[in-house]
Amino acid sequence: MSRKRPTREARKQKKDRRALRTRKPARRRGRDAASLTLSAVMFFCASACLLLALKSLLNEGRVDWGALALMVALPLVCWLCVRVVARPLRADPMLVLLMTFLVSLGIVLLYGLDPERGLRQSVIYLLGIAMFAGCALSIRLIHDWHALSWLMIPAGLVLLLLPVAIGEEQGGAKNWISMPVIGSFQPSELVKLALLLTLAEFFSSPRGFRGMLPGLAFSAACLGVLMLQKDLGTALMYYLVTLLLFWAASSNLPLTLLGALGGVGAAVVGYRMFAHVRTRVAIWLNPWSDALGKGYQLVQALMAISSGGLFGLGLGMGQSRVIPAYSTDFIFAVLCEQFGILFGLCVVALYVILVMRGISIALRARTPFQALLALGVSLMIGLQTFVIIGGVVKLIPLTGITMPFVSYGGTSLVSCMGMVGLLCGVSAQNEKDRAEDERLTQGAEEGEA
Amino acid sequence: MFMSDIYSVIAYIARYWFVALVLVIIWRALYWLRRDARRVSRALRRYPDAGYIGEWAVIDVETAQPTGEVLAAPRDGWLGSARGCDVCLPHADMPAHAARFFLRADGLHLVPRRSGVLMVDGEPVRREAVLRHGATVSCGRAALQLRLFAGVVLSGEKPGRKPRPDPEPVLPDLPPEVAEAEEEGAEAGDAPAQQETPSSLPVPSMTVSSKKIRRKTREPQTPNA
Repeated sequence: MSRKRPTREARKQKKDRRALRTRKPARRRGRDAASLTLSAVMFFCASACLLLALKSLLNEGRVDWGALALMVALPLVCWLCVRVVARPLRADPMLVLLMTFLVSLGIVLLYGLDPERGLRQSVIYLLGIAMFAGCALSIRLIHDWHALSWLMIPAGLVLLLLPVAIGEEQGGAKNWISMPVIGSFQPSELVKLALLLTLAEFFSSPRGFRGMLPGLAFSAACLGVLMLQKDLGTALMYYLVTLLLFWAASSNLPLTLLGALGGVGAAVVGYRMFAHVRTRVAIWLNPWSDALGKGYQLVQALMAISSGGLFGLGLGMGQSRVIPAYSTDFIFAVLCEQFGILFGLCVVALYVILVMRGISIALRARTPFQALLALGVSLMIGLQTFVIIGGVVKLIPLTGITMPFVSYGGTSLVSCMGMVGLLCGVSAQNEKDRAEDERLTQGAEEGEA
Repeated sequence: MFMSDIYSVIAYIARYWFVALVLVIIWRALYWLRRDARRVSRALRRYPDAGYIGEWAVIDVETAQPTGEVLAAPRDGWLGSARGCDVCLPHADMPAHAARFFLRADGLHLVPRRSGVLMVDGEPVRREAVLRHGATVSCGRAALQLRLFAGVVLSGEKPGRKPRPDPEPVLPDLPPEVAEAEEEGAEAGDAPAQQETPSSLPVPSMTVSSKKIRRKTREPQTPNA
């Protein structure tokens, strides 16, 4: 007896029933997305640290306890960040995962170059997590930033002026302060957070341009102090973020273009006034003209990137230490040499994804303050990444700023994690507003019924 | 030397592993971005009023009735006739950027760009006005009435789930040219539109109460010679 072939409709229904049976609930599906990414990050940390421990054992015949400790600690801290710290804060797990991956990558690279710096960066990582949590909580708990913004203006200016008074010069810029317990720290990195909060508050003022003036004045004052310190890289960041936030807040194209022209004018004046600016532009145009002198840094970085090839020489391999400032400004060249250009492009893609996520959070924000804050944070991280990587690969003249999350530098790491904390705070508020919309809609439907 | 060669081989093999891991992270991150974008667009389709506090009903000044046209009311923005305004009413009498509005606990604050141009419930606004449900904003022959959603609870109000009752628009006197046209029409024997009772007017699409429409009156002005 021949079996009757089921009809098309019956086959479709069977397929739908099977799909319903095997379909996971929405919460579990979201959890799986986070689990797989978290697993990938943890595997990366563990395998990289294991490799560093193996290197020490095979090359030097000693057990590297630091690397073994990092092999356990780094994945554990990643897991704690995502599952324990981020959950009560309702932080965006994707942002937290990207941040933890980039920080772990930086620690792994630094440990391979200089174990002491790697361990110091790991300790500062814990401080950064505290800063991240604090900033995320502050957005949820503080609803009126107006009074705080007025307080942050003088506090920020005083912090910025401290290096001018009592600071020490490093790398041609006088923007560091040495403290007895903390060590040296860079106030301009912390003032970045104050600048973002202040600009978001004043630029969202309903009084229009008059309400924006205090924010613009604060930004101009910061730029003046940074020019005094000769910290032109940070000044460039402050200026670009202020300009773009002003345009986003006011949609006033003529004034924005005027500001842009002012920036171009200032750049021309800076080129004529500061000799090191002229040197940097000359080196950018042709680093080989003085390959053993002023162009040495850029030449070595380019050679390191090219010697790594597509997949790199391997973790812990290569001659990265010949590059001056290999752990700070040129960490991207070290990354490309050891992990390869393809890995470097993937890291750039991760930064792009992080910025895109920040912009989508800004678009979904309900208040202008939160929208401008999220946009400002995204712009700051994106522009900083572009400027430093662009300088390393000779796309634009080099500036002395750090690669967010990856470069060695306590204040830079803490401030970058703080910025992601602010972003996560806005994202948590968006989720709360969305849940409120759902509740109101359900309530309205019940009321009509 | 042999041991360092072993490490070189291990490091060479491991670099593909690291590239694979970072590609997995990128792939999941992009999947996450796409999934959240779809979730947001689904939520916007489901709650089209999400993020808005109510609506602005366009009022016909001559009949003091809603025309049926409504504009979504965001929490803050600009009110005017320019295309870039958050609440755009393209009317000849409405300035391009008439006023800035923002929601606070006590109501919707309205800050006009120029003093005395806008009127709220028949009173000219000098510096700032606070609007609640039912307040009417007018400028010449352009008028809007604010209608807040039930879920928007201002200070002094009790939270409610049912929609608020339809308010009556409070409008100032008609502009002089309209008043003159009415007088001319009355002299000619035509019944002006303003003398018709509300119940005889055509019912608009929006539900409007049929109570007596309040209108502020002024002493008739003597026409210029």
